[in-house]
Amino acid sequence: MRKLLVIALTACLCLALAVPVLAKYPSEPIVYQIPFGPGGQSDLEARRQQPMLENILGVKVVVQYKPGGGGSIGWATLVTQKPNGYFISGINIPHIVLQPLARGNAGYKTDQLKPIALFQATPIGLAVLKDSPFKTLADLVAYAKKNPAAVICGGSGTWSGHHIAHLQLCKAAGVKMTYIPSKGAAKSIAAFLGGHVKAVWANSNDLVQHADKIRVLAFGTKKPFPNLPKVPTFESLGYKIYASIDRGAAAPLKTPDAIIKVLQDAFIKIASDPKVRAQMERDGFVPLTMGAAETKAYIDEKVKEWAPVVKEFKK
Amino acid sequence: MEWLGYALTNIFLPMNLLVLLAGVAGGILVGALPGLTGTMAIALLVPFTYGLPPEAALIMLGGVYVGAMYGGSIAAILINTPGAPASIATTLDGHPMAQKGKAEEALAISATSSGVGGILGTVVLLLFSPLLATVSLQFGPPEYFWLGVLGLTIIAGLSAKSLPKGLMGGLFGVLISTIGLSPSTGASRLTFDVSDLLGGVEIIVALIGLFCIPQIMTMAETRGGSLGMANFTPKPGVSVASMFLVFKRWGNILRSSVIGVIVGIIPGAGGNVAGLLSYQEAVRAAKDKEQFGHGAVDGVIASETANNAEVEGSLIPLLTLGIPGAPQAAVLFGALLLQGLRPGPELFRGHGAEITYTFILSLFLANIVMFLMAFFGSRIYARALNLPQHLLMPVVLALSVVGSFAGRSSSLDVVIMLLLGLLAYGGLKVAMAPAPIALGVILGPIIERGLVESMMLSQATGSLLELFFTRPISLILIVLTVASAGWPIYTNLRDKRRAKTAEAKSTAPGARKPPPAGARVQSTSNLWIGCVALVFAGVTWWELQGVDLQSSILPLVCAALMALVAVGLLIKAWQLRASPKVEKVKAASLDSRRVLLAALLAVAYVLLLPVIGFYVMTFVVFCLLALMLAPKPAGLRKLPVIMLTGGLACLAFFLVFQKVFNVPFPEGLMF
Repeated sequence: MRKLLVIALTACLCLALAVPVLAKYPSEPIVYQIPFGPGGQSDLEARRQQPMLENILGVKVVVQYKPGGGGSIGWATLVTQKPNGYFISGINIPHIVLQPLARGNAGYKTDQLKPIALFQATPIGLAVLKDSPFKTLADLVAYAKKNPAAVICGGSGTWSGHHIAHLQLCKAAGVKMTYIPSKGAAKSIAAFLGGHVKAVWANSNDLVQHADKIRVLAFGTKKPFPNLPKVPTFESLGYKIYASIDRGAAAPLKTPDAIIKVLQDAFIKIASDPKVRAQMERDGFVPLTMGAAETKAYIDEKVKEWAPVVKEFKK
Repeated sequence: MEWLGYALTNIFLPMNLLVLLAGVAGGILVGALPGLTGTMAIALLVPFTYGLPPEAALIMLGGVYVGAMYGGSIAAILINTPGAPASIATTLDGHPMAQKGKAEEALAISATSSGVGGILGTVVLLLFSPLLATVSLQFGPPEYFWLGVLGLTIIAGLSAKSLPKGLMGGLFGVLISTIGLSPSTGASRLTFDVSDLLGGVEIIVALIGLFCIPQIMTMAETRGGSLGMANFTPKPGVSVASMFLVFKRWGNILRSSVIGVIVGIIPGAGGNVAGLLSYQEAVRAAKDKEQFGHGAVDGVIASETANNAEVEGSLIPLLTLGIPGAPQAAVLFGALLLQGLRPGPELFRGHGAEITYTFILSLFLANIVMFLMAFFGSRIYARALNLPQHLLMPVVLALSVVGSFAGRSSSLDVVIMLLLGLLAYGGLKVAMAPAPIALGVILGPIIERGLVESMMLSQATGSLLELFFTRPISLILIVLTVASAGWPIYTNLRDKRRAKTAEAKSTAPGARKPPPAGARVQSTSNLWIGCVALVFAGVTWWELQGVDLQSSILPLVCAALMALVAVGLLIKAWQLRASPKVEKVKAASLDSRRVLLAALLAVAYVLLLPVIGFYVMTFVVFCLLALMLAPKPAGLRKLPVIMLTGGLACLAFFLVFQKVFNVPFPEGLMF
């Protein structure tokens, strides 16, 4: 009898402790993992959001770095965390799609990540220096046709957005060009401005930053890129290449939808803030306000688009 | 020049002075704690500075950058561990100075050199930015390759007595640096199918292990063992004398500042490379090369001047082109953008120029404040050496754990740190110093990037040799490389030949040469190094099967060279095998049971950490290790003091790391 009483009391106590946790989310600090090192674009975005998130959610938000493997170490960590909404991570598309496709074992699978929102995009463009003989993409392609492998394009990373765009262009134009990956965009831009490569695949913010010294030949957008409206899109030149790095956040797979909603609303509220939008647009970023469901659909679409590309080039 | 008035009035606003002081002080603290880096501290502060006016934000972050660069030397000098990778070259002579009881001198010299280097760097930043910015773009893949190789030749200078051992260390370091994803192809190498190893071995994790752990193990060797540290007794006037000593070495200061600024300008080579290269040039310039590594003042000056000049150098391409010259500058880039400032011409026009020059001029003040805090703090920091070593070392162990965990919140990093540390301790036992390994770890990625990107370029341009040997900057670097590798080797051979001819004259012709003293010990250590290296080389070769050429070339070359050197060492060991046994003087005092116990304790600490939790484990290990290291059979009398210190240490860890810096700790069942 006494035993039963103890059990009942303990159960009550547990419930009493558990109910407020269930009732109110969030009630303790949230870890916001960045799967890259400090100073990268993902970190900067998180640092911009950090005080605003704390304001909206009413709890401390701790930014925690987990760099390595082009982000894969961080995402492999995310999928092992408790799905209680207190551990979330920045995600980058195409990274989270391409890594599991290109590497046998990336430590995680794309569908193990539960998207919260996408809040920023940086369309990818192909650029040459101002004094380059290539005035248009057609010039470059014509030269590459005559001189296989002689056009050296820089870019950031292997099996990255830049790399895939490069492969797609080579295939669509029927040319052979050399791709030299750097570790990080800063290094590939420096190599490009120094004339060590002939062209560079770069994110829109870097292209805007160096706009006075370079000529962007084409952007991987559907519509002209607002900061550089005269630059044609690949589509308008006859190549079906849509390339962009999209940043967002995700949680472990089993995180309850109610929690995802709280986080999604917070991220979207920040991305809709006029001041944030103005800053992003001026620096060459495209603010996004894609919610959880929309992001999931977008990721699924990308998996379908890239799976054959990776398969083809990964012999 | 209208910006001048604006800048001067702004810098001296009370609010800006306050954030400057806070930034520099915080920077010094972060720099001094191994594992916490300036990059991390600047990133942590960015959200905070978001709410400040742009001038205040930049002044504060600049202060952190400057302070952290100096702070690293405190740990380097006092506990032989670079507080940040940039102060690695400072350990080489700074710590030997402290061992001789000259800790205060070393710290004052570091303070002065850092301050002077920083101020000279700021002058260059102020006057020559646009001119020098173009230099940063001249560095292509072949130049990076030669820059890395040039850095590695320091090994020849460091280990003139036994070049093969130094070389072996360097190769091993480079090999470690290639673990993980290949930077060029994305293929995984040497990861043994552990997905966490894809991220490779972080430099800071390797440095902490290589330098901290051997210290603790050495102290554990005997009861009441010490690290040969002289007690620190404050002497009046030494700081000031040291300061003037620095000013007398103006040649060294100028040379090191120039090297620091140039390395800073080049994206992809940071303060660690600056310190190492300038150290090497100091060795080359010195008449008496023997003193280096044994507490040479010039070594500390060279390293610390260069890494602080590197700070300003790294800002040159950042402010003028928007290309950060170092990781810290990359975070500053973000802070600038968040403040609505875009690096480039905009920063040198109108209101942008006012803010930019306020920032640049504030760096003068930051360096002066840093110097004052560092200079007058020298004596206080040096007193840390007088803490009972048996209480200090457990703190160092806990710091190593926190520091290696902090960067990537990874328990595997802690394991890697300890493994490398135990290996480095084993290395010490066979007369292999940890410094060459550390050099390899730092320079490996630069060499690999240069080598593989050059290979890719040559596929498009035709000739790899042309790419490597015909570019002007490459040629300069090659000449420097040959000079710095060749000279120590040449002098070494010359000395040996002289010794031989002298010997030949003194002994009668035909008489058998007596084997040199200590040959037996050398034979055994050669045998050990040779065998272990062959195993490593074999494992590397086996693990790289089926990996493409571009991803495997550097580790394969390393493994092949290691095997070659190993064979050489084994042949030497065979030749020396018959030499008579000499009395082992040092080894006799080594209690192998204690060593084993200390190692087991450290291993248990690291392995149980993720299970049990940081605070409980740290407290328990602290008490056990302190009991073990205590001078006399400690008994339980000392336990209250030890437990109290352990508790205080845990509290300090909690306050500094978790409350102030928000650094994650390993969490277990308990806390």
